[in-house]
Amino acid sequence: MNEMTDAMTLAEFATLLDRYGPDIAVWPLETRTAAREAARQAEAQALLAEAERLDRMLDAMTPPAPSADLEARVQALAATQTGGHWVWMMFARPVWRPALFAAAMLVGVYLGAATLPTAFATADEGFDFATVAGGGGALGSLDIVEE
Amino acid sequence: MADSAAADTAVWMTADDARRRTAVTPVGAADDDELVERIVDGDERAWGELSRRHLGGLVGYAWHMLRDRAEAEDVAQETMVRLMRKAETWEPGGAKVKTWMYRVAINLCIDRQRARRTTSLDAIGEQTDPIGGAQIARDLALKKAVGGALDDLPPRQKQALTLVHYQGFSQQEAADALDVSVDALESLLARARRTLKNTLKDLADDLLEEW
Repeated sequence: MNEMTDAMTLAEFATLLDRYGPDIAVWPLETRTAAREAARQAEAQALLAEAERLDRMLDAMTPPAPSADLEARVQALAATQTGGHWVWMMFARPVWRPALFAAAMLVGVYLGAATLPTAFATADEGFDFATVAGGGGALGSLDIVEE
Repeated sequence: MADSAAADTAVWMTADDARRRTAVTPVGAADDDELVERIVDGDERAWGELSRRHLGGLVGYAWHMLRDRAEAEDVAQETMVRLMRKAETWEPGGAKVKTWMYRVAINLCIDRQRARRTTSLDAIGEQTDPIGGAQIARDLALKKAVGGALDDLPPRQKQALTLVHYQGFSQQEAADALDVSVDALESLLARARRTLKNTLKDLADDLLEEW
């Protein structure tokens, strides 16, 4: 006989018990009222007791606390980061990236301009803007090459 | 217009207030994201607070996975080292710091388990207080049996149970750390508990009569 209540069967109760453990207070909100009602029945109480016993057995496995040596080593990680690395970390923050990108662009443009091949400059000296503009009309009076 | 200006002012004041609040929040009251930001700014107290919050949990998780204190501490330390490196590029509002740390620890434990293929149940006895007597013998037997049953679980089931039962993770947090859905996590937990109840049934009857 699996029927516990109109709202929750013993099978449903057992499934929820396996999923969420014996503390009904942490079960999904919509199941708690029906689960508490179901838990009044003897079969459900036996399942609850079994789940509580399992939790107590699991609690016997107590892990060690971190040793003082480990705590010191981990704290020392911060101390070793002081100095240059902290400066790097500050500039590596996302908020600085646009500024770093812009700075890199400026440096690139400057270096590019400063290292233009001399041949370009020589060719420009002989470039006739007037010819390109249509044979001297509007720009005919401007002697750009001479300037 | 006036309303719009007032609204703009309110927004700016709110942001400004938020910055001021951030600036004066004690490290103990700061959330993990904020601590990581402060770590990047060179605040060693923030690092100390983040370690205090998570180091014990990381050691505990790794110990449950590996049953070896020295290895568990190595895993915890390596996780903290990786967090220190990750802090430089941490994006607040994404994954939780805690979830990220446990993902690292989970993978480090998996690597170590693959490397050695065995667990040392004898190490469990090292945790017992050296008082002696029948009580100690019974505790040791209980720990070895429970530890053995846990270690015999499929890895994903053991990871899920360890995060939820021992580390106090919510179902959602554990699902995030294991990169599975909440429903899948609950299925892992249910199968783990059913297996453990069956495996430990006789032990429970024998050892827990006085409990």
